[in-house]
Amino acid sequence: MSRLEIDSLKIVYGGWTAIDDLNLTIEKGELVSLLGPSGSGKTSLLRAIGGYLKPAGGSMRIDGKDITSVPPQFRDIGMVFQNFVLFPHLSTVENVEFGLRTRGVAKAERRRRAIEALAMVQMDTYLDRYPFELSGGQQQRVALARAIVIRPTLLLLDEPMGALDTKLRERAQEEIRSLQQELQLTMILVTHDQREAMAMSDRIIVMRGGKIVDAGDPWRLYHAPKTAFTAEFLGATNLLPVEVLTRDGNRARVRMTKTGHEFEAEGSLADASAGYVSLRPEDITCTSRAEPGALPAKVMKRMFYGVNTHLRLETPGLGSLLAVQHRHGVFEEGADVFVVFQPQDARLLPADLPGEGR
Amino acid sequence: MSSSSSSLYRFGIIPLALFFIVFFAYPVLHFLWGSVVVDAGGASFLSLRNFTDALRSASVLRSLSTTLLLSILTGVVSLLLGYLLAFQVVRRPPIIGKIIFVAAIASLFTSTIARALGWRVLLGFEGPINKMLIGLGLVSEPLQLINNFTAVAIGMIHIQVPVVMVGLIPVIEALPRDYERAAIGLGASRWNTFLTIHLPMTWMNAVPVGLIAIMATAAYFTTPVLLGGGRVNVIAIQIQQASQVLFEFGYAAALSVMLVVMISAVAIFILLLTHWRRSVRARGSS
Amino acid sequence: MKTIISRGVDTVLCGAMHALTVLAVAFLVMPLFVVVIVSFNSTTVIFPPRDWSLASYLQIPQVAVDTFLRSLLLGLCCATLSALFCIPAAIAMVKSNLRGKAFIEAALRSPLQFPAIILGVAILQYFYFWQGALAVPLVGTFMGLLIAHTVYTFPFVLVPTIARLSALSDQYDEAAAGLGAGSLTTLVRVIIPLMRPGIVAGMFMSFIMSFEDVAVTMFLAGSKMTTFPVYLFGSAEVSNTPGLYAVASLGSLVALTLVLLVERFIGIRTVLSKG
Repeated sequence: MSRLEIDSLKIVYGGWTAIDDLNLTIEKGELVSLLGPSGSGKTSLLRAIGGYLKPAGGSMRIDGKDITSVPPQFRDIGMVFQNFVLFPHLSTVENVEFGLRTRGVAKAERRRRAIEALAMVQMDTYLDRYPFELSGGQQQRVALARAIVIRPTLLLLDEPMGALDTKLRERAQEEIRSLQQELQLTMILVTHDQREAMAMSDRIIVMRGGKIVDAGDPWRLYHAPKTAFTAEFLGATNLLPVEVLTRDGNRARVRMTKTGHEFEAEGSLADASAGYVSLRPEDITCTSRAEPGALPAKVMKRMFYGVNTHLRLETPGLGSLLAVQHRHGVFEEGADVFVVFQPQDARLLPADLPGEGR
Repeated sequence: MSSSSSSLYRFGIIPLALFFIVFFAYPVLHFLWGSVVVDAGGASFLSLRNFTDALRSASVLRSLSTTLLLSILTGVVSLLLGYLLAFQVVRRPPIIGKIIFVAAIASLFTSTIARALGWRVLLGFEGPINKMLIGLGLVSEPLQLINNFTAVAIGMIHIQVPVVMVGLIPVIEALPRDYERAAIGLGASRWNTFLTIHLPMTWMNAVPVGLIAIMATAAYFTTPVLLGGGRVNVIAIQIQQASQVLFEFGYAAALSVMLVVMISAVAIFILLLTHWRRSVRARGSS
Repeated sequence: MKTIISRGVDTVLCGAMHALTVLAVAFLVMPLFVVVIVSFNSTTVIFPPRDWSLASYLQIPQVAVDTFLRSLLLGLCCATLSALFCIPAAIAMVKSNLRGKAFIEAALRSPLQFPAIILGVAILQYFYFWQGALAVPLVGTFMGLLIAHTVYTFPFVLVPTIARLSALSDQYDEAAAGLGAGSLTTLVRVIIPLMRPGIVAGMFMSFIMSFEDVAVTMFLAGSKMTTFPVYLFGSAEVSNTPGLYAVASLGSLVALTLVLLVERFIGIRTVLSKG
């Protein structure tokens, strides 16, 4: 398994530049997710890495060897497509053997390795079945086996859970992560599902408009995002438009642009004087009793999700807020409550800073 | 798919293209060109003599009119019957549809010679149809149903109806069932539905199929020979005699050109109809 | 259109249509049955047969059997040759950056609507030229018949093959490439196997058209090299015996058996859809 380096990558479709001057390094044995909304360029990036898309500029190296102009069949990169693309006219084991056959592996050895790969994904009892006889989840596993049996330097997955039922997805996420760790594969995953990215990845690359806007491990990205876009994209948050009044180290006193309400937050905006405060719903506490620093609020909507309850609150100072409650304090719709939060949970962030993530 | 394989794949057309040019395009064009070339005393020169000879010949003119009449009659009747059968296949319960479809396919894939032979028996003086007509008292003597234009028309209709039906099934299938349901829900009778919904929405796609049947009939040879008894001289027979019997290839070519012109006129008509149909649709009326 | 039709009239008209349908279906199948039934006559062709016997079947002339086998072989070779031409052509039409594809496709489809009789004469004239100027005998030879039949029937293979190939996703090429397959390997191991239904459907149509052709073949057949339909046609022109009908019945039986086989393995609808 190998290290991938991308420098100044540029991808153009017709007259439109999808990706410009993108730099990225992926270490050996990492599982990295390319996360972003549709049109962010993540799939284009993945396809360029695989060799299915020719870049207009820039270079790519695996373990120092330049692969920029190498066609896909010589890149030794495994790919799992979104709808699996198993060959319908070949059986399961023949599908998995395909990559070995093109590499000239002898018949007996081929079969042995194919069965071994299928065993790793628990599909070794389906050897002679054809793709149309398999369920979505089973097809995904065969596609995975087909990609790993060739012992690729890199494994790419394009929205791998896209074709699966919701119930199957979490199971599949666990299994793929386990497989990746067990075989120490360098894996790049494209997804628009932030929960999936956070659950599986060593590192997440957040993309938007063809650029990397943030990158880091899931924990850091969730708790200390660099921009309001990332804060909103990963998990849910309340984004409050504010102006900065005074600063003192990491603390700042901010004022709501609309209502003028002032409160304490943490973080900095570099040069700008206006930005957003990101306040996660789980960091908001609701009580029925007034406390020092608490804001009055009214419960407008209540949605019970079993594991937690979402409350849509209306406050005079901070506007509409989403709060999440777990056990204590079951509030009815229309109830008057008080909300409290800590300044360190009110993160001050710039709106959107197209930067370079590493 | 890389651009290099994309350019490589281009060469796949070469074997077929060469074969097509060497054994189809060139022979046909060379032959048809022969209609305007006349050999006289060792030298050849351009002339329309073949055409004038043909057009002055009464039998040629008769064959042209016979061919035209036969084609149009066959086309119209096949279109009507074919539409009826296609409609039944698509809109009736699957069992009935399957029976009709199987009957048509069985007919379609039986050789035209066998079918003509079948009609020879059926239409003969002592054949079952005459026997039935006499038995029912409709006629006192057996009718001349064989070895004439009637027999050839029946035979050609028998050949074209399955072809038209197969061509019309997709046309009728393309009409969403919901229109029919809406009409019936609003109280229209079945015929009303047919006249106001099915017909207007499908005729524009159905007519070209009928026109193709006309084109195919115009070029037919075997059935007119077997069922016409020498009395139904379609243009195809003229062409065959000119070449195999008289070895007058130039003359045969002139006759062929006339046939091609006739067929092309119909084809152009189809094209115009398609374009007119498209512009009508673009303007929003239906 | 405001044609208000009363319930009664509607029922009558619908009944009439159903009756007409039944008659139409009878119209379609009657001749087929009649040919078979009439073949069981012993001497003259009468419907219904006066004396039922298998005499006509037992006296089938050797020439009928010979031409029948020859037509089978010719049809098979024709279908195969058409497929060999059309597979690379379809790949070029669908997967390459060839220029002028619309024109090429229209040109290659032209034999479909072209009158067979004209093609027959034109090829006859052309083959005479080859015989005269190039000393290559083609009239009255198997090779000549094969060439003519292939010219006439290859569009039947080309159309469904192109249709089938167009429907295949590009991703199969990508998946194969990602697994290390070059262009040729991808074609042979993935693309062509996946094209098979279209190719087979086309080959079937090509075989049938070749097996039943008279108009083109009659110009190019020789006394020792006739095909089954030309032989049948010639006999039908001059005679009308139960033997003739027996031979015709057997020919139809083979064609229909083939149709059943194709229906069983591919489905007639696939064969008839013209992309």
